[in-house]
Amino acid sequence: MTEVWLFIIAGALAVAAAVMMLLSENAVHSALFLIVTMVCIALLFLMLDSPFLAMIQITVYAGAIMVLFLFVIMLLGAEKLGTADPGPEKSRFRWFTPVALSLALALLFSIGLVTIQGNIDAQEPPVADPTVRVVNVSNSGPVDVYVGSLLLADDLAFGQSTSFASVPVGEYTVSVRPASGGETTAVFDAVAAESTNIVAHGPADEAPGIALFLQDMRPLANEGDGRITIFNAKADSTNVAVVETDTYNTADGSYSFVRVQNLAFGFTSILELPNGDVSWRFLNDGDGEQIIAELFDEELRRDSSNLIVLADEVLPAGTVRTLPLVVTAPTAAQFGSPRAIGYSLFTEFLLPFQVLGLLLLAAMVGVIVLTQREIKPVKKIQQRRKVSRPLTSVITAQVGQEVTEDAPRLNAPATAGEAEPVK
Amino acid sequence: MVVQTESFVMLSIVLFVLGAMGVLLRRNAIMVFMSIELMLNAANLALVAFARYWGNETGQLFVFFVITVAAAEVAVGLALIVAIFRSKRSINIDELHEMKG
Repeated sequence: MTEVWLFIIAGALAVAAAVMMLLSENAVHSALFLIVTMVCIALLFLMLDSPFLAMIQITVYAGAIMVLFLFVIMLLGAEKLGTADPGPEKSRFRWFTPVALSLALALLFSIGLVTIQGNIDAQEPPVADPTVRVVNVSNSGPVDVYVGSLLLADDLAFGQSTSFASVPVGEYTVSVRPASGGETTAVFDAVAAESTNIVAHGPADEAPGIALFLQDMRPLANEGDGRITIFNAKADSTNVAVVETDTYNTADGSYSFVRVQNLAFGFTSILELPNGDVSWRFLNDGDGEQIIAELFDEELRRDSSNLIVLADEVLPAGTVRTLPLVVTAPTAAQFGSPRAIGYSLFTEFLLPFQVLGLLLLAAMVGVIVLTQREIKPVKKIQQRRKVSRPLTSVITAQVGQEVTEDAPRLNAPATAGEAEPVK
Repeated sequence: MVVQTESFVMLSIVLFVLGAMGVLLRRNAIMVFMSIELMLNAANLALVAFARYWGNETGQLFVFFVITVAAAEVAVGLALIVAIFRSKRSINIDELHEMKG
């Protein structure tokens, strides 16, 4: 309800200031009223989830542009110009006022009617397509992964992953085909705006298993946060615990800070990325708390949704070790945030942005060309000895006729060129 | 979304029409210019409202571009007004109907 009142107050103030701008006789007052309108619009921008534009509106519009206006008004002394009654002989444009008023009102009613008829808020905003990616931790060699008939991953080797690809909403059959032959399938229900991981896992001598689970790619609450999803794909069905390395207690060999306990095979655990460095150990939870893998900070990213897949990797020597495979993808930025605007500006809209730069350059050159005065060469100031010229001759030169007929006059210097400068 | 998008669009229409009235009725060239700025602002408001409704940032980027172009336009326009004022000693647009320099 507060938001509604805020809208009503800001909107009413904006309209009132705009009307005052139209009606005030003094251009300086008009400019100040326009600033009020612009600040109100900046407030409305804030209500519409665009803090970046609100900031730009205040600094560029209410600040820079209006200062320019005020400067030109004061420079020309144009506060009252064009507002005075033009008088009977200049009144040929007077008929224009009622015509303009009725035109403007007709515009208001026609657009307003169309807007109300259009029923904007009844239309369904589009929802983002579901996205899906493939992570292969299967030891049976490279795999091809199909979602329905779409080839999502081609010859994906162990430990590799694809980036998120969007698919239409619907139910699909996920098919994982290792290069060695055979096929494993699973049913995948693609829901709008959700991101799904397809993890192929399993030992070398078996057909790969498929695990499907969601990855939370929604915007994070604060800049610098991060999300972690841990998935246990260890085929030997070990339950895993995640602990902080620093909190190791040498006395009894335990850890005082346990992040995740008893993560069974095929299950996920979701964590917030903690502040500072991450130094984690993965323990075998069932069997004497033996360390099976370690993880350090540089592999986890902020402003991202991180996925850690714990998988068995068969080394060439035949031994098996646990690999914490980290896959990161940046989460969507908060709608309207400077990061989101900047991202779009430097990816999708880079070319328009550069064209805009050129336009500004052209405007700068245009302003210089338009306002440049013709520069006349400065003449040398001719100095003359003023003593030799009596006051009467000066007055005579000004008036154009003799002031005194019979006063004795000294001769003025014959030419100015002969006069020597005073030293 | 407590306040309906329609309310924002209606407000933007009212501001736009007020700006249009200013362009048609005021005779001071600087006032006409300020009214154009008001119209641009009204259009920006509608763009931002629709951008939020559709959850699409393209509208916000357009507003960013409009603000930048408006800055360039104001600079050139005011330079024109200054140049006209120098030659005619007036910025009343009724007196500027001759195409002579």
